Amino acid sequence: MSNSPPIEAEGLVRTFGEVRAVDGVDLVVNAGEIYGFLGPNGAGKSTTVRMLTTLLKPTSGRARVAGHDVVAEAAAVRRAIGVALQDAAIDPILTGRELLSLQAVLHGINRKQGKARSEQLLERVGLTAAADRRVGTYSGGMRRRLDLALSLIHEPSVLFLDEPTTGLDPTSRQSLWEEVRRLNADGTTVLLTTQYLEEADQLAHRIGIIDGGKLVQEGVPATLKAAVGDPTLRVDVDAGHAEAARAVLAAHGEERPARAGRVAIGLRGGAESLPAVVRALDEAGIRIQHMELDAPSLDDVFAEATGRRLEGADAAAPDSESDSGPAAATDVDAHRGRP
Amino acid sequence: MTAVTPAVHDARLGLRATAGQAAALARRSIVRIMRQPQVIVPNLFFPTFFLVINNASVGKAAGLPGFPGDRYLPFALAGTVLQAVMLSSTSAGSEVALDIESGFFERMLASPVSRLAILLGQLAGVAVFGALLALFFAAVIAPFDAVMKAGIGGYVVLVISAVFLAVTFGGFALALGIRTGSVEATQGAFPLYFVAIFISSAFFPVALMTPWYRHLAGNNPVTFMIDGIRDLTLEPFSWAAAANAIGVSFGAALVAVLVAFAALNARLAQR
Amino acid sequence: MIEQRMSLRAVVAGIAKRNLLATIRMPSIIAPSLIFPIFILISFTSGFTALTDLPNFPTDNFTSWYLPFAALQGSSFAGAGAGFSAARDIENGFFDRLLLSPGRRVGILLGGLSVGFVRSTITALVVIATGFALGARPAVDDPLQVLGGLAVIILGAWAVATMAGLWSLGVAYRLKTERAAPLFFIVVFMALFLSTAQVPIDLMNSGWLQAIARWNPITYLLRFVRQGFVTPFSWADTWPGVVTVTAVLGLLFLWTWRALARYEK
Repeated sequence: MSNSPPIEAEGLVRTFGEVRAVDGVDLVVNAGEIYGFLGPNGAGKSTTVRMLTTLLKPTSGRARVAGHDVVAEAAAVRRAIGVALQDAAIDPILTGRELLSLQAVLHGINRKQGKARSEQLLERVGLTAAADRRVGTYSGGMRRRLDLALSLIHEPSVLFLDEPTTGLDPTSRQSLWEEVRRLNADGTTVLLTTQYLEEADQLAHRIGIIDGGKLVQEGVPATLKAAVGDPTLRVDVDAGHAEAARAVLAAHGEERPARAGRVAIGLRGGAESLPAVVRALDEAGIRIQHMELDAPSLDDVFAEATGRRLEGADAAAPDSESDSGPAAATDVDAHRGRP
Repeated sequence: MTAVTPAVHDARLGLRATAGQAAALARRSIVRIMRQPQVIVPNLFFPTFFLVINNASVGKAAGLPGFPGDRYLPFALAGTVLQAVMLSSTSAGSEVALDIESGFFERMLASPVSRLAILLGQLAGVAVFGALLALFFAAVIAPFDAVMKAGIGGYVVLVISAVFLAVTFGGFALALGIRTGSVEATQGAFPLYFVAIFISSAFFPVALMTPWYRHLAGNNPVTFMIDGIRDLTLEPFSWAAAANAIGVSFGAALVAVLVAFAALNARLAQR
Repeated sequence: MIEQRMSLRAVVAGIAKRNLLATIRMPSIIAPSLIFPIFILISFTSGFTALTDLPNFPTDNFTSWYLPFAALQGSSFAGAGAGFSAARDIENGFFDRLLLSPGRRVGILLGGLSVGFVRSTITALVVIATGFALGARPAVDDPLQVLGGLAVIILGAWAVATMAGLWSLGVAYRLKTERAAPLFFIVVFMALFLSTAQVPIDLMNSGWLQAIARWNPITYLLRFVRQGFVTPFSWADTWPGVVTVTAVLGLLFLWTWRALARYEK
């Protein structure tokens, strides 16, 4: 059994005529990891996935998935991977059960085992009741779930999900995230492409940010965000207490621009320092009307790496002073200065 | 306030305004057809193909007793023109259905445009295209010693008849499009046109068919339309033949326009 | 632990089953592909019947002459359905799922062709029955040759369905869009009609058509399938059809297989 990582790519390039859709991507995904591939439309995410899943040949570079070369041992790669692409690859004329049965046949699974596995998967993705309905009648969320089930029929060790929740409502999205976590807990390595920051943040152990065909940043989300800088703490205080609040807060971080009646600092130590800040303000007799902590987001990470904001980033109502992107806001109730 | 009925409205507008509106809608209709190669190309290709293949393949049948004329190409001109005109005119139906689906038709009805103008305007495109098709096929076979025996007069009658035939088939298609408001339904009628062409004298003389088929084809209105024009291809010009050809196609066009009018009234009554 | 045992036969059968289900569930496809050949048979045999009066026409029964061609024509539509199906799959993304399966890609091609056999058999049988109703009669008395005559029509139907299927699949794999559909038909249509479909070569009216027909494999296939209904069986009418059709099938298969092997989107 190979000890090589489930996914590794070296210098992957793919051109379409003059266009370099993927421009030298080096990538390693470790066993048991959920790797988030984050980037805007047209960044090269899907093209990279299609190369790793043998649907496209690289123009140059090499890649190995599940220990097999994606070009020379394509069939072996396909045996080991499950793939759910951006457009749910399903046949609307067949029923869910029929599609699973076909998928089992395509993977050389014997009839008995295929049937059992299909029923298991239908149950798992919550489609048992709809299994004998034609897929053309399914909702978008149901199609995605079926697509996921199809990709799992053969218990792949590596799963590729290409923008799996695009177009889904929040409930369906959450439900799919749960399923991905469950799969990963069972040992499946997952490479997930997304343009949704929250999705990458919530699911991925590590992310790679791709832009213009190149991998521009890679790492653990928390580390990447922390590297961007301290989160911004904004404190609204009573009129006349602003100076005093400024003095207290100066000990906890560098001041940042804020509107009148508000003090903002880059909070050293992040959220962990919040209790100390609240205590300090309380001891100084300063009444807090409102406090919020804007953690750096992946959009900030992206902006730092590329100089642009990510398209399709979830936009919370922006604070006009804030340099940070979407807020992962932590609202703290007005502190009453109780001892 | 008393609502103005469409009839009173039309009368008030007058013929001049109607003509102007029809002209504007006609321009739109003509441009639409000319910008759609998917309408133009198949309706040129298939009739041309059948003409060429049939002449090359069964052309010797023109020597059989009872075959009108002595060569196949002149015999086939009328049927080919009718085939092309018929198939291309069905686009009038899908165009109006598209207008209905997109809401443009309702907007037209709500504006001070007369119903006659709407219908004539919609049919103008296929009428112009019909005339061009007639000229095209006449020109294609002429170099092969297949000139109309009726001369210039014959070609004039051919073009006029083609225009009326286009209005005929376009009118029926329009009626279907207005009644159903569905592009799919109008295109679903395509097999009917196919049947109408094949069970006619388009490709082979009725007199040489099997008896039961002869009976069907002989009573097919399409056969009358074709034979009227064919007489001018195979015989010298005569006013009687010209009147027959134009009369049949004009009569058919009138019926079709009335049917289209009825469909429009029915649709208006539903509002 | 799920065991995967690749079997080309199973993959072909699975895809064939899926294609058959899809066909049955879309009656708007089946009806025209049955009705149209019947209509063409009725129309041509009734309308062009006088062609048998041409000097040296091989038979005096035009329906017998035309029936085998009508069966081939109907089968060509049945076969071209493979291309429609593939183009639809490519446009809606399902084709990717087929490509992602670990089996050999040739299984996708063979599975795609397989429904053509079923549909063309049905079409051919329906056309034969209609032909008999219209007055087609075998030219031979020997029952074995009559059965043989029916069998070669079915074989010819399969051959044409496969040719049309390979052509339409090759186009679909290359152009990757449903809008290529007219190309499926036009080429197949022309190939069928630029032959001895309507009259023998000697009775054609144009030299250019005679020249094309002499080179057209369909002409030799028609000679093969008209045995029993128009002519008695003979080796001279059999081997050219078998050889040319085999060669065409082989070339088409390579052409289409190449497109699939190199398919990327």
